[in-house]
Amino acid sequence: MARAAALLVVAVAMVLPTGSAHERALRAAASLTAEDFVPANEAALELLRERGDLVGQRRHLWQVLANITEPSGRSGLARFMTWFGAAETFAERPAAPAALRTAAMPFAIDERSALRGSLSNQPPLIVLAHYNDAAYRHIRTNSLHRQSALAALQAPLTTPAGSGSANAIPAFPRAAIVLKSAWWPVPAEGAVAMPVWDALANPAHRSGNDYPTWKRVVAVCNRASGAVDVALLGRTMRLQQCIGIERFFNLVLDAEFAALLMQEPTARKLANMVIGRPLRAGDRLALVALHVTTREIADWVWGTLWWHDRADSGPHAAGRPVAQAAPWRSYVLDVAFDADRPREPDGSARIVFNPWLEARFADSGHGGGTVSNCVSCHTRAASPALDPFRVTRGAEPPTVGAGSGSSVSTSSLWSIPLQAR
Amino acid sequence: MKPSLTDRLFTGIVSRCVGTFMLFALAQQTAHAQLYMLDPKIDINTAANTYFGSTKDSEGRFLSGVTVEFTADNTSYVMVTDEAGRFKVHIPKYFSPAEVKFNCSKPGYGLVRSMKRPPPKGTLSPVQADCILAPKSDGAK
Repeated sequence: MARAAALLVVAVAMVLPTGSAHERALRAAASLTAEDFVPANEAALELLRERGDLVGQRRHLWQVLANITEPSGRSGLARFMTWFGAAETFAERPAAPAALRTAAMPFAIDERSALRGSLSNQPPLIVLAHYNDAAYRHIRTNSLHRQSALAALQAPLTTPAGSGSANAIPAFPRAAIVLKSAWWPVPAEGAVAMPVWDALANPAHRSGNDYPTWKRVVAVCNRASGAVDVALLGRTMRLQQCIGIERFFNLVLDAEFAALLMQEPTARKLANMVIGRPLRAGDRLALVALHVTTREIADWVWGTLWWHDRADSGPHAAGRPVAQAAPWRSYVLDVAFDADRPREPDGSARIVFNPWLEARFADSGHGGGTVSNCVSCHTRAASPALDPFRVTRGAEPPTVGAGSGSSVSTSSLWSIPLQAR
Repeated sequence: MKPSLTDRLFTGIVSRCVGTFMLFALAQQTAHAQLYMLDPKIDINTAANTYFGSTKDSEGRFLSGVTVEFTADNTSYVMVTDEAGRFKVHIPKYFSPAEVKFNCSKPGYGLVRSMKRPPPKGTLSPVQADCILAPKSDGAK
């Protein structure tokens, strides 16, 4: 029923090419509640991109956020927490069916994660990928979880580089969504320090702006309270208030969930660094960042959110729906429909980054993570994966981008070449 | 016995045979990895210095779970000591040992002393870094 209604709305949108009616149809399509996700009208979204209409783009992403975070099914989990994790999506065996899903499942790890963890010297963060049903099925149906399938799509090595031949994986359905989430541990008792990104206080640095370098931290507790002492990386601070966990989208760990997490070296490292011990039942994970990408347009629609203690003001709060409920009112949003447009005030290509996920990238010649753009980076996604975290500005020429030469474009998803077995 | 959730999740995954070469290559590629998402921030071919050491409490017992942070040029390299209270980390050689700052921390503990022993004159690697921490009530900083 919902899908039929969505189709009707999309059909209406297609015959209303201009003005507010067009936008109303677009909003209505994205707001429908279906089993998974109903994409908005492609032509309407392309128009937002073409016009560089940030107001419309932001309105669309706020709507997508409402859709993917509403309680779902009998579990009442936020919809995106019922989706498939990377370890499940790229495993040899299919994942557990939807009816059996729990919040812990996206956190499942594979054996490769345990091996690599001890080698990492980067500041740790719990980062997950989430694939909705349409994205998961597309990857599995086309065997994109296997390197052999990607290799079979490669053009012969005799194809001259720069010839413009476009090798690509099969196009994802428009209902596909892929998320990337980042989490910070909060103990059942006591307070933890959590860095907060203030753009003006953290000027771009050539070696990146990873969270240990951010100038400000807040204290987070299971229950809001007055002044507390917190410490992070050896720096001790007295803060005037401790922010309650209810201001974050958060998950409560049970013993099994905590044990699952502590099998992963990076999560263990983060827990030790932040709270001084492994996670256990009653502790929580607070969502600090969320990338959202939908295949509603060819280069995907990109939105990115991060938590902020003053999320109700500033350009990244613009367009927030009046009816938006807590805790999502504590998150700010930025959007990218295009690698270039709309241009920045200085005429350079559009900048969209998440401080938790991209600010740390070093300047490799075109600027660091704080001038990056989701579309610019992800349109380079290809198998084999070459230099995936090099920051570039603007759109790449098609003759050097993903799918040129003998590489295979992986439809803007780096996780396919990097995670496939 | 009914398998647990974790068992169900991992059945068929951990038993998969992955070639030793592939594992080695992956581990090398992901020296800067984050959970589940590969993140080779720095070129894996970057020449690096080895920094190693241990953390102890004020009574000389090795202390595990201590965060050891090296910073240079706004970049942090973070390790947590293992069960034996030891760590090893690789830091790009373009940071000279003299400019790499070193700090140890553990919630509830304070730093008593840290020592960084630079390599012999004219050499770069390895660098030993040790520290001593004490519970906050013991009067540590």
